[in-house]
Parts: sequence; structure tokens; C-alpha cells
Amino acid sequence: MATLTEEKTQEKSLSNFGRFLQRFRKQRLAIVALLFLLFLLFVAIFRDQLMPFTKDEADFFSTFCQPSFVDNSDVVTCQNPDDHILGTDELGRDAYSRLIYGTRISMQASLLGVAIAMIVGLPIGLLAGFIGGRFDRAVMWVVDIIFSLPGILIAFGVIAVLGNGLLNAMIAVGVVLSTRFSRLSRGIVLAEREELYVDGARVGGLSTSTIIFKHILPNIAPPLIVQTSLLFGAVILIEAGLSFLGVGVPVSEPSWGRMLADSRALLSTNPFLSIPPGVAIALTVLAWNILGDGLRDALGRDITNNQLTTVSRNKEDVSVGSKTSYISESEAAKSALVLKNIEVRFPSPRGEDVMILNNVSYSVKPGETLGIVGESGSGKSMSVMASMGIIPSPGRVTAGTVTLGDHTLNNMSEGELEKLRGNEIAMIFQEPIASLNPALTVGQQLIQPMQKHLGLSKNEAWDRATDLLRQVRIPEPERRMDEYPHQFSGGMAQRVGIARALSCNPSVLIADEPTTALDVTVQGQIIDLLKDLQKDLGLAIVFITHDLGVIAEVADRIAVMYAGEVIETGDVHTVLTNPRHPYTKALLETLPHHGVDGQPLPVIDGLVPPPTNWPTGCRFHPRCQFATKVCSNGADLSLKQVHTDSKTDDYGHFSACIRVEEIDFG
Amino acid sequence: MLIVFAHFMIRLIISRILTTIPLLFVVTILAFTMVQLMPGSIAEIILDAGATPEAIAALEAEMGIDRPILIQYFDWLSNALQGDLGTSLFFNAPVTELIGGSWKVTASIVLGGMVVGVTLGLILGIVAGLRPGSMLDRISTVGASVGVSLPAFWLGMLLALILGVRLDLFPVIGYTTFAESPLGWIHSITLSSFALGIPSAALIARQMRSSMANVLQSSYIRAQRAMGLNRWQIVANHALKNAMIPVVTVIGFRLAVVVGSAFIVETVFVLPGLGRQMATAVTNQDLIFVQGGVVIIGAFIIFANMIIDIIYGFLNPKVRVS
Ligand code: SF4
Repeated sequence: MATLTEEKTQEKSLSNFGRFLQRFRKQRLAIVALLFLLFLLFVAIFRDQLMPFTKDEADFFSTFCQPSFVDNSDVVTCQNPDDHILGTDELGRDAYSRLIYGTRISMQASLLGVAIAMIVGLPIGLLAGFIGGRFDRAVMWVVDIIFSLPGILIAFGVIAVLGNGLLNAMIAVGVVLSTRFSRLSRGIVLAEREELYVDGARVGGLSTSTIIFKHILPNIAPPLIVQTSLLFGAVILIEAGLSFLGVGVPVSEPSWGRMLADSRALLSTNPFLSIPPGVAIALTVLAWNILGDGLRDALGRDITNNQLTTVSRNKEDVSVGSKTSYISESEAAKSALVLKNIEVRFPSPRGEDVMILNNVSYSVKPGETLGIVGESGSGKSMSVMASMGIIPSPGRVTAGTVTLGDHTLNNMSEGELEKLRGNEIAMIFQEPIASLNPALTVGQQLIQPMQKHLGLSKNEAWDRATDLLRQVRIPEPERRMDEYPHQFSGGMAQRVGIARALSCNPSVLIADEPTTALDVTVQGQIIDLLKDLQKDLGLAIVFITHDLGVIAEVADRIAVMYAGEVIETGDVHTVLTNPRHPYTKALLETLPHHGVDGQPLPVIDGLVPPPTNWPTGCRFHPRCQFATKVCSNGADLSLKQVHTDSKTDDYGHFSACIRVEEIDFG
Repeated sequence: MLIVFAHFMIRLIISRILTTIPLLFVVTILAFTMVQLMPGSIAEIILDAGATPEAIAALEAEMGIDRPILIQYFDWLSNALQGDLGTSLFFNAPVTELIGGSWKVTASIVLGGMVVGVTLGLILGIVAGLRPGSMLDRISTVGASVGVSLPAFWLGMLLALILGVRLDLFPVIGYTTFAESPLGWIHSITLSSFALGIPSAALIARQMRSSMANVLQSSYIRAQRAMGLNRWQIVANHALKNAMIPVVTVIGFRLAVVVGSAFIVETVFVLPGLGRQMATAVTNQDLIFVQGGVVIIGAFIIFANMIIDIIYGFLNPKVRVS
């Protein structure tokens, strides 16, 4: 048990490390920063060889020199300007040499400070996190208080007690910053404790220290490295500040901060003296910060997309209606929403376009529910986002048309689309609580769309919102209007979501897995509610789910999606009892009532392939038990009318399977 | 609705005040312990190096520092609560009197620095966070990295050099009180405020940017978009308040840093503030003054954090209700 967990941890950290190195190599700025810091280390080590003058050597014939690269001829006190690259001070001491001297102080101070901070802070946090309970609370309480005080203030206290001196100053800084390590390590221990493998390790009879050193330390390494890098910057800033004040580092030692303090008096006579030490401090801190950020990015996640950015559509690149679709003209004319041959592409990280949706068509009439089924990754959610024009960037619709009532969405501006969203077409979501703004009361967020679309006043909107809550059967709607989303259960929050979606009288409602996150009884209530509302309001509903059982209950019509395509569609009863595509058939066989008691449910072997790697021809062929050569060559993959004996459906029944006529679906 | 809200806020404020009191105690204990930790005793410092052990003992008895430590602490605490923090060894005057003369200077530049930092930081952070990855975002991100790395006191020197010495727009030394001349007051703290504010702005901008970018990825933003609200309505009514929540915490932490930096910036602009007194006291091992300073500044920070906490609760209903 123990060895197994250990191996797992090691393997995990190794592969993580490899991936980290790969990502870090792309952070060019961070690598430059690292090189700069190594250079400083070099300067600090070979200080004595690099200094042309000693720190206190006074060239009395060259005082107040400007740097050698500017004209020194009018500085009468400076006789040997060429000896002093960065100029001299009032005693003729060489600024360049003193800068080099200060490099070592700065390096030493920061190494010492961070080391002390780590030695003091890490164990405190680790123990607090590990022991937990009252001990943890008491320790962290004090740590938090110290953390919240200005670092310089704590340093003042420590130095006042210990007296001046570089070591004392660094002990002070170390104590100040140790709280950051305590907080960090404690937070991570708490998180890691939750992880199974620590429990596993405990069961294996390992001692607490083994768990800390073998299991927790490897996992806190990444954030620790980031934090340490950032702390180096902080230490240098505090050290410079203390030396500037003449607190800590002896005044005779030209640290960078001390040089700045000395140059303060000469600000009007030789202002240049204040530049090099300041630049040195800023660059060093910057280098540590950039390195820290680079490390963090190499270890963290990307935030460059958001829900507000959509790629503005380039009208030329959307080819409209070049292909024929299985949806007949007459059917389209009756429908509230029609998607025809929609194609959506995303640029892949490597630059080429990846097709996420291919030739997707479906339609839904007023008062009717279209169920869209598919595994995750089949593109079902993407297709409804396309129908609202909210495909997250950098994705975009590259072909096809969306028709919503009388409107064709393709050529609309964002402003025109905004008038339709909420008003003509609205949506409810999979995670009802997350889809509500946690910082606003339910009432506050319900009224806005009504004010915008229906032109209601605030009070009118408020009253209507209260009515809507009543309509979706939320008890005590007046009181609930003033409550926040986190005070709602999932089922109640979904009712709020439905009320919001219906608030501006849309003709089409999109339901994206609205019951998946809810428990079974609540699921049933929500479905009943939707059905009743549909009957009253004549809504066209697009209901997305991966659950065939739910589909059978809600849908009139069904479209089965696989790998970005609709592969079978028709009347729900016909398709579910008489599937004409091997994928649909396989899906149905995974349903519980097909299982024999005591035997595991059959599953479809393999996974939905990723969009970057879609198989040629029929995309289901690697998993299809009926696949033959024709399937991977890809003849006619469009949806073909299936000639079934039952003529009960008025939609027609279509399948994309090439071999649909040959296979015995039994 | 308003009544319910007011009720929540009052409960929040009372609970925060209650949690603040023990924090103040810890600070007094820290400050008191600091003096106890010093090798040797106060009496040795007061008397010169050549003092006889008898003289030291006599002074210790007179000052009461030969009594049990707990009694000393409560004695000191009760004096402190009555506004007596002892007599400074170096300045040779009551600590409260000394601090009474200097705190306003420090408070002025801290206030100025926070105003500059928060205003600039929020604006930059919001603009960058709305379009992560855009040109503007990249420029402000680089600017923020540089800004965070600048030592405030060096920035102060540069500002003094350029805007003070060269252009003569602002005074580079000295302080004008608000009572003397409000305009002169602003004038005298402008450079220090910017020196303190720019690095803070950079940090706040960074936090605001990532916070905004994170909020904009959330599901409720998509939901509002699906209801047809436009970009600005969504940002103003939905994203901003949520994005502010973590930023408020950062602003709280930053306040402590600005107070610390103000101590140093005071020296740059030769302002007669608390920081310069503290630095002088530290170099001269004037533990009584330092102790008093730690208590006063500690208490200030704790009160400020309490206010920040209340604002946090105001923004974040999850805290408020529980
Ligand atoms: S086309 Fe071939 S691989 Fe695809 S579903 Fe039909 S039989 Fe299977």
C-alpha cells in the first residue's frame, strides 16, 4: 500500500515536472530574468575581482564626477572622469565599485532573509495544518495578526531589541516574511490532507513526519517555488528600505539602499548618483517577480478567454446554404428555430483551425420539444451556443444559417443579437446556482432584462418577477426575491433560472442539461414544470441531455449527436424503439432496463475522439461493431431518410450511417 | 428590503468589532514582550555603561520592573489605555505626546498614497481584465510588473528630482498642515502620495485584472449574456461587484505595506512623521518609543482591517448572512 502510493506520488511529480519545464521554456521573459539573477550572483561572488576601487577609496581629485559617458568638462572638481564609469560622490568614491559591493550585500541579505523566513515559517504552517483543530486556529490567528502588520514595523521592533547589524536586520526581515510561508504551507497541507493519498498513507501506518516529508512537501513544492521567488523581491525591497533609513545594515556599508540615502543629499548637485542603485534594486526585484510569474504561469491555468468575447463574424467567411439540408422548406417555415448546416471552428494552439461542429442542422416548432442527446464532447452545447450567437472566443461560426422566427442571425451585429437574446430565445443552464450572480439578490438580477427588453419600470419589473417566481412554483416569492442565490437549493435555483429565461416572453427556450445536477425527484418536478409552461406559453424547447431516459420523457423529437455531427434524428418514439444508427443503438443498450440483473451494464468501448483527431469517413467507425472499409473511406455521410415500416411520425426519420440499409438493427 | 439589509450590516459590524478586541490584545502582548526580550534591562540602557549593579537595581525597583511579569503587563496596559505609553528614552518626552505631533503627517501621505493607488489600480485593472491578452492588457501588465518592483522611496527621489528640483512644481521637503492651508497640504503631500501610490496601483491593477478575467469566465456572466444584456450592463451590474471581492482583501494588505513605505518616504521628503521618529528611536534603541509606536500603528492597522472586513461583507453576501 505504502510503496504503491509513494510510486504514484513520484510518478505524478515527475511527469508534472516534465510538463512544467516544457511550459517554462516558453516563458522567455522569465528565462531572461533567471539569467540576470545568475549574473548578479556571479557579480556578488567575484565582487573583489570586479571592483576597480575599494568601497571607501576616495579619489579627492575626482569628486562629484558625472558618469564617464557624459561630458565632465564643466565639473571642475572632477579630474579623472574616465576612471569612474558611473561617477563619484562628494568624497570621490567610485559609484561603480560601490554598486558592485552592494550587489553582494543585497544577494546575501536576500538569501539570508528568505532562508530564515523559510526555516521559521514553513514548520509552523506545516504543523498547524497537520495537527489542525484548536492548535491550528490559535497559531494561525497570531500568524495572521503579524502578517497584517507592516513588515517594516516588525523589523523595527526586532532591530530595536537585537541592535543594528546586517544579520540582525535579516533576522528581522526573515521573521516578517515567515508568516507568508506559514500561511502558504498551512493552506496547502489542508488542501492535501483532503486528498485520498494522504489518507491512504495513514492507513499504511506511516509516521506523521514521513507523510509530511514524502507526501506533502513534494506537492507544496510548486507553489512554494513561486512564492519564494516573489519573496526574494520583497526581501530586497525591505532590506533596501531599512538601509535607506540607516536601520540595520551599518551606515559604513554601501548597500544599494544606503547609496540611495547618501545620494538623497546630493539630489540637486549630482542627481545621477541616485540612478544606478535605484535601477539595481528595481531590476533585481523585477527579475524575481518576473521569474515568479513565469513559474506560476508554467504551473497554472490560462485566463485569456471569457464569456463576453465573441469573435466578430467575418461575413464573407460564412458560406450560407451551399449544401442541402434534410430539413424541408415547409418544415422550416413552421419552425421557431432552424439551424442549417452549421459549422463551427476553433483555432487550435498550434494554429490550424479545428472543426468543432460539422454540418449540424435541426429545427423545432412552437409547442414542441426537440431533445438533443450525445456524450460530452459531441458538440450538443456548442450547437445551442451557435443558435444564440454566444460561441466563446476564439471559436466562430464558419458556415450555415440560424433562423429564429423571422430573423436570420448570420449577418446580425452584436447589438441586434442582444435584442433577440432573452427576448426571442432564452436559455437555462446545467448548474443552476452558478448561473446566478452570487453578489446580487434574485430580485435584483431578474428585473434587469425586463427593464431592457420590455421597457418596464423598476417597480413593474419587480412585480412581474415576483409573479414569475410564483408561476414557477417557488413558495413565498416576495421573500425569496430578497434572497441571494446561495440561499437556494439547486432545484429552487433552477426554477429561478426558468423564471429569468421566461421573463421576456421568448418563443424558444434552450435547456442545457437543466436537470443533470439535480436529484431525481427534483428532476421530475422541473421537467413537469417545463412541460406545463410549454403548454401554457406555446414554447419551442430545445432540451439537451446525455440521459436517454430524460429524453424519452420530455421530447417529441430527437437529434442524436456524435463527434460534432447529427447522426440520427426523427420522432422520439421511433428513434428510441427503432434506432437506425449503430451509435444510437449502442447508446440505448447502455440503458439500465436493457441490463440483465447482476451483470454490469454494457458500455460503448472507446471514447469520443477529440476534435483535433476526428476519424476519416464515419466518425464512429473506430467504435462501431458494424464498421467495414466503406465506413472509413466516407461515401455519403449526409442524413438519409430511413424507410421504416411505421409511418407514425410526421418528421421523417434520418440516419447518417452509410450502411443503414444493410445492417440488421434487430 | 432595506430593513433586512440594515439588520445584516449591523450584525456584521458588531461581530467584526467583537473579533477585533482580542486582536488588539495580541498586539499589546507582542509590543510588551518585545521589551522583555531585550538582552539586559531598560535600566541598563538608561543608566550609562559604567553604572554599578546597585544603581541598576535601584532604578529597576523604582520603575517597577523587578515585579512579576504579568503585573507589569497589566500595569503597563492600564497606563496605555489611559493614554500613557511611557517616556521616550531618546526624545525624553511622553510617547503619546510625540506621536500626537507626528501621526497626522504619516496619515496624510498614507491616505494620499491609498487614494492614488486604489483609483489608478482599479481603472487599469478593469480595463486590462475586460480584454485579457489584448495590446492594452499587455502594456498595463508590463507596467504593473515594473510598478510593483519599484521601491517607493526611490520613486519618491525620482519624482522629487524631476517634478521638484527640475520643474519646481512641488516642494521636495517639508509639510504644510491642512489647517494652515488645505491647498498647501495637498501640494506638500502630492509627490509622496504618488511615490506610495504607484507601486500600490500596480499591485491592485494586477489583482483586479485577474479577478475581472476570472469573473468574466463564470457561468452567470454567460447567463446574463444569454438574456441579451450588453457588455457594459454586464460589466457594471454583474462583473464589477464580484471582481471587487478579492481586490478588497488585497487593498487591505496593501494598506499595511503603504504604512511601512510611508515611514521611508517621509525621510525622502523630510516630513516630520511617525516613521522618522521610529527610525531614530530604533537606531538609538529607544525601546519605549518603539513599543508605543508598535501599539499605535498596530491598533490603526487592526481598525483599518476591520473596516475592510465590513466592506468585504457588504460586497459578499455569503459572508454577511452566515
Ligand atoms: S457508417 Fe459504418 S461505421 Fe459508421 S455507423 Fe454506419 S456502419 Fe458504423
